[in-house]
Amino acid sequence: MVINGSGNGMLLKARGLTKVFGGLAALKDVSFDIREGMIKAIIGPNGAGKTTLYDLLTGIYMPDDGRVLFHDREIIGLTTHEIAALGIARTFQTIRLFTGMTVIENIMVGLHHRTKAGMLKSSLRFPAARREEAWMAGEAMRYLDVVGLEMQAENLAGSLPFGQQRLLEVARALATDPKILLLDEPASGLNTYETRELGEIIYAIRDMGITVVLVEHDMGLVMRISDEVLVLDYGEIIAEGSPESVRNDPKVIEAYLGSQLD
Amino acid sequence: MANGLANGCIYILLAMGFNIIFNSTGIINFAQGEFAMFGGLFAYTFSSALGLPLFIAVILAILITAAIGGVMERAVIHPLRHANVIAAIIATIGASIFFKAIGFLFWPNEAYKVLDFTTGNLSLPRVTVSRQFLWVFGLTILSVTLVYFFFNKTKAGKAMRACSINRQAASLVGINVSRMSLYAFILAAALGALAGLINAPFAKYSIGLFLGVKGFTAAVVGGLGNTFGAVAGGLALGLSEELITGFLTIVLGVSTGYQEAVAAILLILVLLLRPQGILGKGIVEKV
Amino acid sequence: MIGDDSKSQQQRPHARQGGASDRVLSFLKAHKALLIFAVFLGVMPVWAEPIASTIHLDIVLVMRLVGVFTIAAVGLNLLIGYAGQVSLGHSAFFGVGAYTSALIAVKAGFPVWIGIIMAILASALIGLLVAPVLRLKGHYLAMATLGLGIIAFVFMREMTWLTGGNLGVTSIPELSLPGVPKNDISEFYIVWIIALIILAFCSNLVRSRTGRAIRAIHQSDVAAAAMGINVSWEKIKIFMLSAALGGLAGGLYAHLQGYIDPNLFYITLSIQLVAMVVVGGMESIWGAVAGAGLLIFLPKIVETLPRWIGPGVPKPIADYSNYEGIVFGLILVLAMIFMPSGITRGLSDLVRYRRSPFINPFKKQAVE
Repeated sequence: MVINGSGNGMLLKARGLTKVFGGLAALKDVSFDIREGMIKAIIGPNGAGKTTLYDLLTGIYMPDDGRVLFHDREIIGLTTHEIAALGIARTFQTIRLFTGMTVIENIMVGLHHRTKAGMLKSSLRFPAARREEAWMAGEAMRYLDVVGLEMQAENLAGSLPFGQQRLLEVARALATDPKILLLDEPASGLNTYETRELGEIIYAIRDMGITVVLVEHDMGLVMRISDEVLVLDYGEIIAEGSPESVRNDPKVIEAYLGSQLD
Repeated sequence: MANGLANGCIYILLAMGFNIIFNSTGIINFAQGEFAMFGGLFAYTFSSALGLPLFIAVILAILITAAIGGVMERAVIHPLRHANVIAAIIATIGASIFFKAIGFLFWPNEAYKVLDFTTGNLSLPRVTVSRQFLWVFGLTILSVTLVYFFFNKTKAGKAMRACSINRQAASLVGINVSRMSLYAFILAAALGALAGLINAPFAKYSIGLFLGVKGFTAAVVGGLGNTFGAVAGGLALGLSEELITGFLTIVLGVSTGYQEAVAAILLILVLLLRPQGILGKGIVEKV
Repeated sequence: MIGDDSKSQQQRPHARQGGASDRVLSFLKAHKALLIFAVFLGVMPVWAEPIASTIHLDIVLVMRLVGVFTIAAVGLNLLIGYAGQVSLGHSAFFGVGAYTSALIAVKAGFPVWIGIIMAILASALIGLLVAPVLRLKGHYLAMATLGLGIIAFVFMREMTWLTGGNLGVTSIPELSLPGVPKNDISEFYIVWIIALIILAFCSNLVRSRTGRAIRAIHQSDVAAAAMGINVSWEKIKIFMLSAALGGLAGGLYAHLQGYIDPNLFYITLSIQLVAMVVVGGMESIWGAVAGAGLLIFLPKIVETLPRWIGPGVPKPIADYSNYEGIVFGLILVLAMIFMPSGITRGLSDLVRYRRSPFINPFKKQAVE
């Protein structure tokens, strides 16, 4: 399989991704590109393989076949934390905040790989470690500001209302300074107002120069903000293109209606 | 071989206790070895000290230990039924320390001689085995069979199996999960007591932790939670202990004291290399 | 590796290059409670020594042990409370530290403090060697570490050419500093100066970048990895630190007692250490102090009770020597049922979040 070289603005290229769980293919030969600076949505009925795709891209699972190039660098086979350090950040469908830590500490964990004070230096309070700590606190507030949670900095993350927990997870992912942000159903559980706010935040993130990928069920949000939509069904891509073209694609309509009739 | 088999039988009974409790509560019961301690010491008191017939003494020892298991469940485990398993496990450690201290209060000597069921040897055409060993073997087979029938033929046993598969679902279909936890402790304590009293000739207050670790190792080797995997695990542990110790002492000429480490090494190796146990199927870990 | 590191360096505000006095001031501010505690300890011999014979309890003598176990417990709390990795094998590190330090002093004749340093290094090294068990989770990890504790115990007992087996190692020199008289009180001060340094070190650690990383791993290892944290390496590092602190405590213990044998380092010791962490308070530096203090003092106090009451006590009760077990076992059970977040966490939650100390922090959350 030949993948064309760089220079065409493609940030991430997936080719032939396949993942089988116990004889059942969760993903079959999935290939797509993500262009730098776009907002790309991945949609599909439940069980279509969207979260599995994220798990492959972030090294939580190894694919049975296929490659992923990020900045023309193969990332399959790297560990989750190596991939995060390269600049791929994600959120989780079921929120995985560090609930027993404060809001600002959650963000500071996101800053982990961008800082380097070691165990001894920070425990002995070396000046460099203290400077770094002060920088982290300031930087963390900046990210909280992006999602409007700066007033909550000292509260426990687990004590936030659900919608704010989702936003905190987004801010935490942003703190890793990603090139690409994978959001997994960020609007699920949010009310209409919060969803609209989320849309604005996603735009703001895009304007920070970060490419956004969005797995989402809220079609209003998807159609409004995405530049491109990719539709998965039973682990296969059935459509890809602009929101309008996908919305009118007979295969997509069938997949959604069919799944509703089940 | 006979020695390894006899030890294996003790490990089987203890391991079944671990598995039964693990299945119905998700807890590793650190006091399992102390059930064995009570079994042996009560048998001593009723038979040697009070002069009751051994048969009666054994029954009494098992019943009293089973009752202790039940009381422990109500006093320690039941209040923690909504807690994290780690808290419950630490509470069982506390119970085991408490039991050991009680054992020391009433039976402070280093060791007590429990009577053999029948003394002497039985001569078969080719081998000679001690009658005690036949009792150990027979009682173990009997217990395993009874437990098998309990889980497969009785309503309470089937309900307990349902709990082990999915506690929440079991409670939804009307199974009293809390009562199953009580039954599990009673049954496990009875099995532990039997293990303790066939662990003759000596019973002592300090035996609990030692036997507990062996029983747990057997449970892990056979696959934690697999009630009948305990049989394979117990035999594998008993025999490999004897073989490896024989190898160490006869071939390498080192002290038999290392035998105690064999179970621990086996435990770690199985956990690292085959955490589902020798009989278990592969575990698919889902994040 | 990451191109933006230099960029982020530049973004940092130019913090004032703090002078030495500035650093001392900031240290004092950060550790007010520790200072108050240090003053409390500093004057302890003054009032505790005169009453020792009246109350049948030499508080200073017992406090030396509390100091030692505080060091081990705070190290174990980093692992269990903060990183969420339960170890039931810390008796191994404690024992390795004790034997290393004792043998270096007794057999090789080196100064005590060389032995103590070697004890720290040896335990950390053993910690690194057995680190593969950290791949295991939950009670599987607990059981594997329990196995490690047993293996270490058997080796201590059976390697008689080195350890003396069950006869143990005798006449281990006491802790001493040049120019300081050798006695219980100077040992008390030496132990607690070290313990206070360790407490300050650990309380800095848990509030630092590394501390946040291990707490993150505790709450969700998947999310921690997705934040760029090298989960297995962070676990190994904290395990080694925890082992090293166990070794330090073991080394000090050997010199305080003057005699060690393998039975002191059986898995009951591991369980005692875990109990100190849990009863004192998980995820709490002060919990280690409270846990070690309570679990060492309570049995001693119970033991002295018959002597307070005097001759009226029935002989079997006066002779009984295992109150420790009964008290200790009951404390563990009752703590889990009534104050499962431990003494210090329970109290601090009460103050900070107005939350009852009797709420169970382990309460299962509806996950997925």
